[in-house]
Amino acid sequence: MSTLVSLPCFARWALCAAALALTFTLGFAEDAKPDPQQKFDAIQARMEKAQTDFMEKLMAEQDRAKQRAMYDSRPGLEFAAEFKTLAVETKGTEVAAQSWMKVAEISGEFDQEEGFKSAVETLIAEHITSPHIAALPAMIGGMGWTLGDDKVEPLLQSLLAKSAHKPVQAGAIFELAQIAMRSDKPEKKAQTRAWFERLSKEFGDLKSAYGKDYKSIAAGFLFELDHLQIGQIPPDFEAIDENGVKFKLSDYRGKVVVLDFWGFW
Amino acid sequence: MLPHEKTLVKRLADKPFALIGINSDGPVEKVKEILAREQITWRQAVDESTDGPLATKWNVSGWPTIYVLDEKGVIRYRDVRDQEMEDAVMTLLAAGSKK
Repeated sequence: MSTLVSLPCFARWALCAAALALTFTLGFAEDAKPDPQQKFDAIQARMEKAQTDFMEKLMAEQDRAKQRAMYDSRPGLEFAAEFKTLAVETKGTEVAAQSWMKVAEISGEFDQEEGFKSAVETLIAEHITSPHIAALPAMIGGMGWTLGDDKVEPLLQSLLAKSAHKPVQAGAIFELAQIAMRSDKPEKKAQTRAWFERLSKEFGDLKSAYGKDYKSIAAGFLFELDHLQIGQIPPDFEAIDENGVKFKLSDYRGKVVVLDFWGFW
Repeated sequence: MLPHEKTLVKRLADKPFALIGINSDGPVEKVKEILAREQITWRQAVDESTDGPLATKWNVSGWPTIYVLDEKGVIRYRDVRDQEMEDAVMTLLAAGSKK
């Protein structure tokens, strides 16, 4: 990740090799100023350590109420502040893009609406072409559950309008489609089909972060929209049960049926 | 989830009600092992994995995903669990028995 070889080192490579080995064992050399990427990695490493330590403590606590209180004061926001400082210091660079992504992610997790919004807005304004914003659409969409879809929708619209990067555009459309689908406003819900059709038509061959192409993803949601909404009769299916016996959903007509998609993993 | 389902299945054994699991744990042997271990008595569609044909067709991306259908096969509730699921089933059974 970090490049520790600097130019003068090349000249005195033998000496440098020793210094390098030392640097690896000691972490940063005392007088070497860490470059921005190293600073980022260091904050990230400290945050991960704090979170791992916290999870261990949380798991060890038996009392539910105490667990709850611990969880409310979990580590995170202090690192958002550090990432933000770094983002401001490195304004316009890829390190800033990564740092703003962290600020957005942490603020989101902690339900800090302003922090989240300003980080996302900065990413859109200053880092729209950065490869580091690939996960931004999903992050914004996910925040709809806590901040409210009406709050995150304009951010997705803005991201979609400004990005020329296909994965980001597709991701934004996918999130906008899902927001439409889960809306309880009929006029909004009615836009679901158009979003998924656009996703399929313009980005069908493109694969999402989960490895599935957007054409099949859109097809799945369109099936859900057309056949699996409350008030609809789903198409019949045939399945094989645990005893190797074939059965159909329609065998159960006349009964109240609970279909439970589950797993014990 | 499971304890509630077990009670419900027992209580409604003589009612026009069925709980069908669509299981994504693995092949049939694995499913049988889990059913025996967990003492699950209701029928399963063996869907083999989270990318199984039924889970894929029904666009399932979170587990459990639950649909409650009335006696005509119409979807009436989605993602109700535990007491909420029981209430949904009881409401539909009561409505069905009135006809």
